[in-house]
Amino acid sequence: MTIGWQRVARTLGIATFVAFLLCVLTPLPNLLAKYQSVPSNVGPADAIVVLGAGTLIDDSLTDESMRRFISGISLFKERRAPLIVLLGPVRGRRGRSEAETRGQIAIEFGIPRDALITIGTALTTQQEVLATAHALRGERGVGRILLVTESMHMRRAKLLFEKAGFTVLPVSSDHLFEIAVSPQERLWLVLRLAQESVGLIYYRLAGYI
Amino acid sequence: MEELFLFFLAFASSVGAYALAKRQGMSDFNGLYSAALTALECLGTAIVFLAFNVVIGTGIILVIRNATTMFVPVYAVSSPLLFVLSFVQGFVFQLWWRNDRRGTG
Repeated sequence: MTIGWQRVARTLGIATFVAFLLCVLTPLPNLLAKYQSVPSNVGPADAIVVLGAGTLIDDSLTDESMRRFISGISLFKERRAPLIVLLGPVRGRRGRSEAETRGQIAIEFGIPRDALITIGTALTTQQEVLATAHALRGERGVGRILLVTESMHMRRAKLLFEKAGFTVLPVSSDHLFEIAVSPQERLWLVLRLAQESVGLIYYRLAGYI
Repeated sequence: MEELFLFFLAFASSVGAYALAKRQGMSDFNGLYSAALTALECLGTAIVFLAFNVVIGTGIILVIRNATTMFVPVYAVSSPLLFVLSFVQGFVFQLWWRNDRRGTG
């Protein structure tokens, strides 16, 4: 290895260390996340669509899945839409899908069965959009939806649903850019920002959005 | 406040380690500076490994998804495990290259 590589590695190391300090000690990630997120716009719609966020090994909902679910149920209880779509696949190869688990809890919360659609087959955001479009279009004629997902995920999801022909009212299940104040919360925010930025680029390159 | 406490902890343990090293007869401050620069080089190398692992990993996952019926989430490449492994790679390889150069140079 040459002195040239040593210099490059050292410069990269310094840049990484400075970036790390900026991310954990300043509100820079919060500002970037605010730019990335889409403001919520709650209004009357034909359906509430709650995207999946994963389950644990015992099929219970993850924190993020529960947060999205509660946001969706709250919108339904506020009579924002007559229909609620709950998504989320099976973790691994067997067990109960996230959508089924959410559906069961929704019924226990008093949501009428005929107002509920569960879709447990979609594995990616793009598949979720296709499956939702298939379920809501045609007979039901749904055109305007309240879309519930994480704030960092909203931009990509909203663009996909709009491309599928829906009018989207975004409702974020969190306010990550406001609540991430500790070093680990900011690091998590940076990770989500990076994941979603890559996701946006990939979806654009693949022609999904 | 929390971050200040963490930095204070790291600073205090560093001062302790420095005092201990001085007691052992290690008084060369330039050596400490040089070690810090080496650590930065290792960090830089680790970032290169991380970028490489993430790009290659994403490519492999997309190929698997398109060529088979198996589903692997792209989120897999953002696992903390890959971060740790990349950092270990960076430190091991950079130190090996340095030592090797010193041995042959």
